[in-house]
Amino acid sequence: MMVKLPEEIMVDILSRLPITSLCRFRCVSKPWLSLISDPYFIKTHLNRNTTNEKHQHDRLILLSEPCDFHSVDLKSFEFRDHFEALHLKFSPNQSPSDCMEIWGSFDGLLLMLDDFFDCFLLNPSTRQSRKLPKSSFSVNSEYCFDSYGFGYDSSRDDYKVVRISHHDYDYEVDCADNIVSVYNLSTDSWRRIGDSPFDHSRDDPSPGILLDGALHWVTTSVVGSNTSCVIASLDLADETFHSVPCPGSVDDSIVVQQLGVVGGCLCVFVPRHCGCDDVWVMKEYGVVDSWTKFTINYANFTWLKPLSLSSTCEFLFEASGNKFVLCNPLEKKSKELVVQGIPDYYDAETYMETLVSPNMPSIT
Amino acid sequence: MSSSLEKNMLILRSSDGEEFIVPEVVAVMSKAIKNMVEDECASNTIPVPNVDANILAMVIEFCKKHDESEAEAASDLKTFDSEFVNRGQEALYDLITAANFRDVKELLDALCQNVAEMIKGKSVHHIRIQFLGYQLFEILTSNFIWNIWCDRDFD
Repeated sequence: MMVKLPEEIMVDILSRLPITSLCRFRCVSKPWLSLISDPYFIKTHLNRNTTNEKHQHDRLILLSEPCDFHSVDLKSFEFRDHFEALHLKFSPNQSPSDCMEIWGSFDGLLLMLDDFFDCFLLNPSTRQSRKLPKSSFSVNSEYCFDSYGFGYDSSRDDYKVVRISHHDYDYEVDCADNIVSVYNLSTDSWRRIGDSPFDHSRDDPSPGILLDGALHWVTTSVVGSNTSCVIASLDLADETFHSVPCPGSVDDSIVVQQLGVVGGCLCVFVPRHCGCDDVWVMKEYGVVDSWTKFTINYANFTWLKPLSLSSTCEFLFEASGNKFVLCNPLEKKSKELVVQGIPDYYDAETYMETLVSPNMPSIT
Repeated sequence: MSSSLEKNMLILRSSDGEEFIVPEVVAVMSKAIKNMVEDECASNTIPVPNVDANILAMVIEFCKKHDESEAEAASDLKTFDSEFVNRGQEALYDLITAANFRDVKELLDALCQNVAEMIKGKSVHHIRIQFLGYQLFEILTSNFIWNIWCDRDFD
């Protein structure tokens, strides 16, 4: 029956299938393989699954030493109490080199960094990876730090990696000390863009957080002799920097850590080291008065990384790199989310299963 | 003939010559027929080539149900859809072709979803034999190791 169906109908049918089925069906026949590998089909499959922003957080990927990946299904996690981690097997020729850290996740692609600080993009669902060339734009300093971000520029239908190279040896706030470069997947090359007007030096360089086509970092802003904490945003379409106010920026004592996105809102973790910690959510993007605080009375965490928001308004956090915590701000309750078969320590990030290939030229 | 027809009714003629009197609102769920009606080139009987009476009756049944049940609960319609599309491969193929050719979006959507559910969990061998009409000997004589590799789990 299916041999006779026109190609557009085959695209319609196959684009409704999950990735595991599609990976298997690549070996049904040559026509099926070429259809499933076709950029147009991959885009159709992606669009069918990204009508809802929530899908970007469908699964968790856990990276542990030595370059070991586990995947956890997060679908409707608020209604389940059993979670199991799947170990991702890589054949020897697919295995990415020694990956150390996850720096970004979008449309099923992960931005990773290896031991030699080389970037590569990995699709953990199809196991395809691509090593990126080195950016030649970095500050000339022994105390050089890099922050990265990964996102998608819808105006050009292109994936972009942003690298902010900055140095900070005297711990003085100095905005001029950074060089920003952008990598386009379509051209496979880096180019320098305008410097960031903010001071990106942090104790621990953090990844850019993607929301509404812009990457966000927690930075310091200097006006005259005053310094304040701001969230820097880089618009991926026009590649200019803007700022988003931090919560309580009038009160300088707040230490903002771990920026994240949950339910389409910016979210920060503010440790208070007194048996409880604060989480602030910016309900309306860019509106300083919409920052809303809730307090978590679970235990002292070194840090909490916001991961996802359930339909019942429960927040999922990764806590201190070794457990997951589910917090309900309305009932002021927190509990640990137990996942079977996970490693002791890991780096966790949300992702979705797609066929998007890091080696694929974009189709426009 | 059209003079004796009630207002807002259309006649559809299948490829094998059978005629169906259908309310216009139901008939125009097919985009192709809707375009014909809007262009006013559908004064008399509308021929529906490539679709036989048997399949045309099924398509009309589906469209009628979807037209009537606008006010009904979505779950009832879902049940109807899943029962409607639960057919043998030959009928499914004919229905998909008709829905595609006549541009009936809801029907095509339900049919494609059904085929996707049918093949989702199947092995590569099942797909080849049941849906692509491969003969058993073709599979047995092809590379044995390759076949095992094909059916491994990708999780």
